[in-house]
Amino acid sequence: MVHRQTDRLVREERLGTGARKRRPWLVIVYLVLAYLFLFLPSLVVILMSFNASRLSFFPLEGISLRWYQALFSDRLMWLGARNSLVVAVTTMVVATVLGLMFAYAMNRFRFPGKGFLTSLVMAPMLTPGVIIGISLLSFYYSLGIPRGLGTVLLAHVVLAIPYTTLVIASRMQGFDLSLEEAARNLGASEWTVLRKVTLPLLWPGILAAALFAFTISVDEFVVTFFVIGERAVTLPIKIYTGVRFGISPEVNAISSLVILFSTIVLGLALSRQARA
Amino acid sequence: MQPCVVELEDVWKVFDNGLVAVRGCSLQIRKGEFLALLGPSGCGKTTTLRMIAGFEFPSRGRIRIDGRDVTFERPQHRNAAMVFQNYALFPHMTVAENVAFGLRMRQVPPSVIAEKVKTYLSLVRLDGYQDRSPKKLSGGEQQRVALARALITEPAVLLLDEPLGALDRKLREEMQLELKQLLNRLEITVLFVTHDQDEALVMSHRVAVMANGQIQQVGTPDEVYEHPRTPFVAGFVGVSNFFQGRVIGSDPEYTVLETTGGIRLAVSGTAPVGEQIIVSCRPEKVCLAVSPDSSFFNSFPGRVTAIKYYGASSQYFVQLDCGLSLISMLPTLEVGEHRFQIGDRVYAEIHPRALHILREPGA
Repeated sequence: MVHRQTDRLVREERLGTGARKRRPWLVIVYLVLAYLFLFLPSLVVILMSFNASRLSFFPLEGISLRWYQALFSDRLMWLGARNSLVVAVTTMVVATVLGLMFAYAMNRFRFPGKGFLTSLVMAPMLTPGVIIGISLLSFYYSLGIPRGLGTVLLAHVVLAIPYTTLVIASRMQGFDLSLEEAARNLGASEWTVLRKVTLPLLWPGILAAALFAFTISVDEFVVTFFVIGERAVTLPIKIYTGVRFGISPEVNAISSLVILFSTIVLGLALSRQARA
Repeated sequence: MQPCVVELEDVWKVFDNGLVAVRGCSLQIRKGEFLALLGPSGCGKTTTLRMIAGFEFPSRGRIRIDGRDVTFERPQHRNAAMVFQNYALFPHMTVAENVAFGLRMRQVPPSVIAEKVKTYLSLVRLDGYQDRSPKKLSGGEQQRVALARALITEPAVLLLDEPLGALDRKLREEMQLELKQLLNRLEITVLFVTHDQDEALVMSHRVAVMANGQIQQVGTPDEVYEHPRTPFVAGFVGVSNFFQGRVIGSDPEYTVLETTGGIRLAVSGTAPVGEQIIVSCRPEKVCLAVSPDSSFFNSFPGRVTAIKYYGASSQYFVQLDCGLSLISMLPTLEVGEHRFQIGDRVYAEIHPRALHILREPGA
């Protein structure tokens, strides 16, 4: 009797525990459905980008790279992509630096109105894009600021700051202040402590924040649409104008590339944060 | 006498929230001395240490290191290296980089640094650990890295903030002895903050007992244990029996007081007649006898109510007939000799010289 029980225990040990192994198929079905729900639309876009036909219908009429070819010879598309990249990189730098400074102030200092200021900085995260877009538009208009890539950049920085601040602040939460004290105790000046101890330890958080800011800017459409004006163009705006009169297959191609690109960048950001 | 390395002169610390952490603390640490700052948590000992390191500035008073006034000097310009309670090793640097940090800050040439890092790592028995990450070391190893990192700067005083607190008991006892021997060999001046009275007594040359932001008593371990001066010291360092009473007679050598329980107690020392005083006595100085001894002045009848057996000795809890309770600590006797049992009728005898008159600090 005892032997049989031990045998069973040993067997379950080898297989993993009995309870967890009992109905794996249910979990698998659930997971497949959930992921299909999330990613099927993107998959369809990617699939259609290789469709030889102009019409986006199943079944595919053949595999072809013609839409990618068309895409690469579209100068306006390239201009939009270039503009998006320039704005995204600048947003990344500005929003990360500001986010770092803000997180540092929130984490290290106590001052009156701190809670209020914190919620103000976080506000763009909760405000609908349309509202932000309209308020920025009337703000720029009332000050006579000409609309263009400059106003887009300012808008993107506003949108990205809550995220960069949050990501860096969460990294700072667990920061052991005695490390800075130890460095000063060993003869380091305040500036050296920042360079040799604080920033290197915050680096994973800073990098993750930068990647977040970049992704937010590169994908941003709603607010951009309000503040970009008539002359400039970014990639999401260009894509939108491409689908206004029916979905052109070229849009499928560029969308596929953007999905690929964003997935890589976001994946990098998340893995950085996970490791941090 | 050795010159003073660290000198605190009437140091006070009042925090922004109004908390008075340190009130009028004066202390001198001599060259080569191992001084323990002993007290319960929240007594101000860590704040005192942090003021010496320069992480906090005193609200009043002066601090001198090697004769130089450093009261408001920034931490990086003091020659006082600290070993933190959690070791505070830089996780993004190797063991060697951690140890080298202090010398790098002092612009020492790299070849000298490499040589010294090797020397100090072998001093703390961590040869070959150079390229390891501190995160992957055990608690004891991390502690030794922190020690090497502090020692390599050849500080005027080494500040230890509960350095053994995070280790488990067996390792802690091993490290106590190792640390004591190492630091004595280096003849370095040490200020050691701890809440563990055994650790303070075992490791230090002198102990400063602190409570409520005040230094209660400074002395060698045996002075502090055998001649406690304040009620706090008597109760915090080891176990004590306390008697409270009014002085009814006094001559140059002895004082007699009548305790709250109505018994009369002869105590060595003097106190003015009529004053309310507290006296203490160590349990091992309370003898138990089977019959009364008329030659003994302090002999009180009572009954054994509980016994704690420790092997080498036993603790007897005695309820005196007058209502007071006493603890007596007696060595375990040979087989065949009389051992007391619970319920036994006993006479507790205390020599007047084993009783100490206690006074509040500053009184």
